[in-house]
Amino acid sequence: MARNRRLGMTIVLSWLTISIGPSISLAGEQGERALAAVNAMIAAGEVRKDATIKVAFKSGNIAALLGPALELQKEWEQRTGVMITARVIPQQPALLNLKANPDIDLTVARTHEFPDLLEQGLVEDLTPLAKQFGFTIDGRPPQGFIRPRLQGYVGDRLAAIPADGDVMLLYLRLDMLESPVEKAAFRKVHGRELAIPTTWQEYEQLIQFFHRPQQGMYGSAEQRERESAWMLWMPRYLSQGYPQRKLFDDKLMPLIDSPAGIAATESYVRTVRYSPPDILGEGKDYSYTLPLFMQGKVFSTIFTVAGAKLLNTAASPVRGKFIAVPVPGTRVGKRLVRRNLPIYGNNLVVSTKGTQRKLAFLFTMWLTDPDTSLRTVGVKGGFTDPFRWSHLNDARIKELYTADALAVFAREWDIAVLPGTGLPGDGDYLDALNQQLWLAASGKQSAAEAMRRTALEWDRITQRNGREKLLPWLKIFNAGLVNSDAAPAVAK
Amino acid sequence: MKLPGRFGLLQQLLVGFAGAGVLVLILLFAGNRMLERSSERLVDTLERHVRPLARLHGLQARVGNLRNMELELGHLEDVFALQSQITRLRSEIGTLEREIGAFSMVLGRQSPNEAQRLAGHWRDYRSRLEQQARLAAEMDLAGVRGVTAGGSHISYLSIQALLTEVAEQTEAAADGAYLKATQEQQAQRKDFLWLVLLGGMVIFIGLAYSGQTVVRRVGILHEHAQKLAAGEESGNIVIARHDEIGDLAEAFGTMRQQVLTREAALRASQVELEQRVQERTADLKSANRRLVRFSQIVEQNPVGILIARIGGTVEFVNPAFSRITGRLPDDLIEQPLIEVMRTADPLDADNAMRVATAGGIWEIEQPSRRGDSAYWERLRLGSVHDEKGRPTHLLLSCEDITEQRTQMEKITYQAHYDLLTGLPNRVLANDRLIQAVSRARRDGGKVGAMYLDLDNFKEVNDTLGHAVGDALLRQVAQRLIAAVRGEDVVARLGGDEFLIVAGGLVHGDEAAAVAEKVIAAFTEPFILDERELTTSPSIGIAIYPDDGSEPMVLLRNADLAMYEAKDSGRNMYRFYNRSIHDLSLQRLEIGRCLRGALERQELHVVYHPLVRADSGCIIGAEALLRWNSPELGEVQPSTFIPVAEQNGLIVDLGRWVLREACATLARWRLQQDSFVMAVNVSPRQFRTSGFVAMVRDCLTEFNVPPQQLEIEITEGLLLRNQGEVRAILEELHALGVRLSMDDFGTGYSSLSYLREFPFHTVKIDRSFINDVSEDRSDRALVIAAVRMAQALGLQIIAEGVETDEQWSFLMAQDCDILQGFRFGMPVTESNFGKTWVNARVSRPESDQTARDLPFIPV
Repeated sequence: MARNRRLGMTIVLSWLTISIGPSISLAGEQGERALAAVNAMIAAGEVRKDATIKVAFKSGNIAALLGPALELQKEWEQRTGVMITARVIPQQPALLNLKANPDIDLTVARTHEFPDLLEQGLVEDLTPLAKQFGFTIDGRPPQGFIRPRLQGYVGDRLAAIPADGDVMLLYLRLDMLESPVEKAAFRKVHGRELAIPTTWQEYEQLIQFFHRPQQGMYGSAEQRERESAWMLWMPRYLSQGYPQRKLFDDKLMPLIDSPAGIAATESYVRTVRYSPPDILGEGKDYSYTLPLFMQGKVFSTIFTVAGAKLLNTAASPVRGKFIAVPVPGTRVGKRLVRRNLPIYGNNLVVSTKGTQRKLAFLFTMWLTDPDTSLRTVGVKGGFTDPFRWSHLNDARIKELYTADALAVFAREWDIAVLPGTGLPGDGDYLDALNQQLWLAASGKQSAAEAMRRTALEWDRITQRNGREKLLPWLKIFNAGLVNSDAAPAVAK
Repeated sequence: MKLPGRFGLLQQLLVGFAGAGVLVLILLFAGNRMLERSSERLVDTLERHVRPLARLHGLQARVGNLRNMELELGHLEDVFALQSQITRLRSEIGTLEREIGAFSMVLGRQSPNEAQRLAGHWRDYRSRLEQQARLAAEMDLAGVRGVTAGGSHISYLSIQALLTEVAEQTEAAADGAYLKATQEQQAQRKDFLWLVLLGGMVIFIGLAYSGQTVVRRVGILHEHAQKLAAGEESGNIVIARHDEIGDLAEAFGTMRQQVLTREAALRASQVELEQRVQERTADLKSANRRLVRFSQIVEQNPVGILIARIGGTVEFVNPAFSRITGRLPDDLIEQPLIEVMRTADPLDADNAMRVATAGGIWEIEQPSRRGDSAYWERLRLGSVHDEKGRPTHLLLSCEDITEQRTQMEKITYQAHYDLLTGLPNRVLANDRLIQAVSRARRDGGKVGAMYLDLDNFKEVNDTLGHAVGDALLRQVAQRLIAAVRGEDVVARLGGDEFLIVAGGLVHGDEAAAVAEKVIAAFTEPFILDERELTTSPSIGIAIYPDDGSEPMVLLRNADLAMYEAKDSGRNMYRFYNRSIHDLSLQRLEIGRCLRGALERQELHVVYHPLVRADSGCIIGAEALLRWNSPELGEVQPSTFIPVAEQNGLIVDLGRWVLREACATLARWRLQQDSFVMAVNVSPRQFRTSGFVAMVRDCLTEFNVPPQQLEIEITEGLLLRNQGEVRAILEELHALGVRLSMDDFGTGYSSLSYLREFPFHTVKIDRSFINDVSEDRSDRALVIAAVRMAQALGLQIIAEGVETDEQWSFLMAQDCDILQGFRFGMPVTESNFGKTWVNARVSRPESDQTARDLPFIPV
């Protein structure tokens, strides 16, 4: 009897999928539609009942995407009969992981990696699959994805399903900011009130004030290791102009060897001195900076909203003592210009080499359903951050992250732009930038020299990859800086 | 028929099976008993030895697993994996707590001492694990590693050692129990084998007897059946004993008779069938020939043809289809038609099949790929019907239309781009401007429309030819593209006119930076066929929304501003403003009124005297054009001359003035033989073809000596096209006409011009003379100009002399000729003839001022 009921539900939902076509997903509907599609494919003999999806996630993602006790994986397998085999891949670019694991069907990729992955044919353009299965990547509240054009698309191609909203927030020690003693001392030194910084200049002044290494307290713990240098440089550079500060001109000549580029680099380099002494060491990423903040050894750090989730756990010594605020900006004339960007973004991509691409896509469709995704975002201490508007209104999520941090997080998307360079070869461009920024931060060269060398190297990369071939990508990237977030119209 | 006293095969088999069954039951009973005993021994061994041992190994494995998790926890590289690891660790601690508790209870019954030790070590290990979980939750991984390397290691080893000790004791006991059970089992197996052997012998003897009687009689039946099959005569079958085999022999005899009868009937039917087959074969051959003919037509057709079943799988493709799509027949046959069509949208293919199946024709043009190369194809899908009109197959035709598409794209390109420079043309430029304005309207920004015109392009075209002109335009286009910002649009509107659309401006002033870069880009000369050419741009700028909210208005205003730039001296940019617009309207009005003014006799010439500085004698006059418009009133020359210059009327006006002046000169020469007439010539008139001839004709017509006509040109004329200007000046010089450089000092004041061109006279501008009394620097400049002209052998005329003081000064500097209001205003021909011809002005005295000095005609 139960089997008959299930078969009936499958037929009804399959009919709905085919007849209604693309529509806005209500909570749960998207996931049920994905499950129905899988069961219809099995019933039609299109896939075997015992088919297996091969997924590859980084160690921090497994619990976040499949559940701490793999309960999401179990539920999927029970409801479809399709197995999931998961493997752990190292913290390295998705391009390398996909090349090293050509048999996988599904993995995660950062937002700035999409152009490389699409250009090398490593990941599927998901647009046809989304259309086939009626999966609308919509950006409208209350259920839609947050800035999907920014997080999932390259032009009109759907490169990934957004699964992790990763714009940055500035974390400060609230108890120190509100201390009357500190306020008085700050006023005496700087002649103004101690307040949350709105510009990078104010931020520098603030971390300088709280930098007391002899007391074991450091002003700042931004990620300074070589691999992530671009992440903290970009918001400084992009806020140097209005309405846009571009990395390249329309002929792909670098614009960073300029007063704006040098100013951003100088701001980046000047603040290193207020960090713990070994901050520039290899591998000193967020797993190094976040514990320092949690243990009360630094006054500030900059990280995604996942920081709020970690710092707000019951065991956290700074719970209730910190505040998440917007990233600073730069004054351009009378205007305060601020820019943010999704620096990580563990978005789900489907490999072109996999044997179960449709199933992998349907798994992501189920996993990112408004209801199902509440369970991934709600994993305590997990990597996955809110990526739908509905996540921000959920009481459990608010308790997990704090309502204040989520409110700031929601507003930061208004000033978010595309990360990276938007060009095939993005990894090479960012490697070059990282290397020169790291050398400048280490005191081995000036900011001007760093920008000059980066610009030269960027031009070499452009020539190597073919300037004419890259121009259409640049056009897409620049258009994306001001694009709206409406999902592309579906052609009938 | 069943006979009395007969013992049938069934009864025989039942008796045999019953005996064998009794024997088998006996064997089964004995075997079951043996298995029961063996099972009881196994259960006993499992309960007493194996289960405790398995539980021990399980505990050891779980403790080992816990240790591994503990070690992993301290070395996690990603803080986001911490929480799940802590959760798993705590879950494992809880599970192990329950299992160790249960095991300790069992162990306590046999070894209370070991059970107590195990509980103690576990408490110690558990407390250290919980400490590590707490530290990890605070992200203190160094603390976690400290506990792992310190106390927890000893606790872990103690538990493992104790469990190993208990396991070894349990294993030894299990070995003894196993040996005993093995011995008992071997004895039972021996007894069972003897029993089976005995039962087997009894069954074998019974089967051998029954078999012998049955086999012999079945052999007889077999022999007769073979003969029947071979068609041989076998006679009647004789088999004794009344059982089922006897019945079978009788029935076989009856069947043999029937078989022989039916065989005869079958032979007759065979002959008839063979005849029908021959007829049908002939029909098939004919149909096959037709089929081959149609097949060749399809095979050799240049259009790709694919035939699919109604269900959608491909059945046939012709070579043209493979050639066009680049896919081999083997890759297409039996493939779904939907995939073969490769439409961008799978729904299109679904729709196509629906249309075709319903009897319609579906068609699409789409991009596709053939291996690594892209091409355009046109697909048409229809259906094939059987004789009853039912669709049986789908027919897909495919054509390569890449060439057609390429032509179409080329036409589209030509409609939007200038073929000479590759820049957007006027149509596309308008479109880009509209887009930029729309964007600015939406974003609240500004747009600069910059109208650019080359200053001397016509001369280049006229003198060097269109090929050089075209090459220059191409280089200009490249420099413009290089000079503007990446987001700006550069377009060629036609001729030497370009448009730059600078979008995304925050302030209108930003357009000035673009314009300055453009002007700077023209600084270097252009190299054309190893010849250096210099040109410059004049740029007019209109800003959205300040100077207009509609693109066409912006373009018009930029055009006006460009003319303002031209009028202001060229090679510069001008922003559009209201005054330009007003001025433009005024110019239009002046231009309108000026047309026909000559015919309506609204224009007249006045004359201003030229006076010798040393003697005060009138030596000549300058002819000046005046206009008294009925509509506009008295219009200043500085207002209407530029308009006439711009719209070309200056050529006619200039010719008329020259003729008037020459006619007047001819009359005045009757009174003063050496009288000189100076006439201003505008640049446009000067460059008009036939100008020299016109001067020559004028001199001839009015019989005027050429040395008494002085042509005045301005310094600006010499700045461009020096070759052309030089040639005209040389011709005039050869004609004998005097040449004068007017307004000297206001332009470049280049000494080289005076030296290189055949001038006779230099006219120092009035602005220097005005302040010569007060301004020492002006005095110095005038002295320098006079000395310079004297050194070059040129005559000096000082304009704007208003006072005696100025006259005295100029006379002291040996200036030759004076002109100015000191001597009177310009007057009509009749007045001048009466008053000034053959007259003299009294020279200034030291105590006289300009007001006191009267005109004294002599």
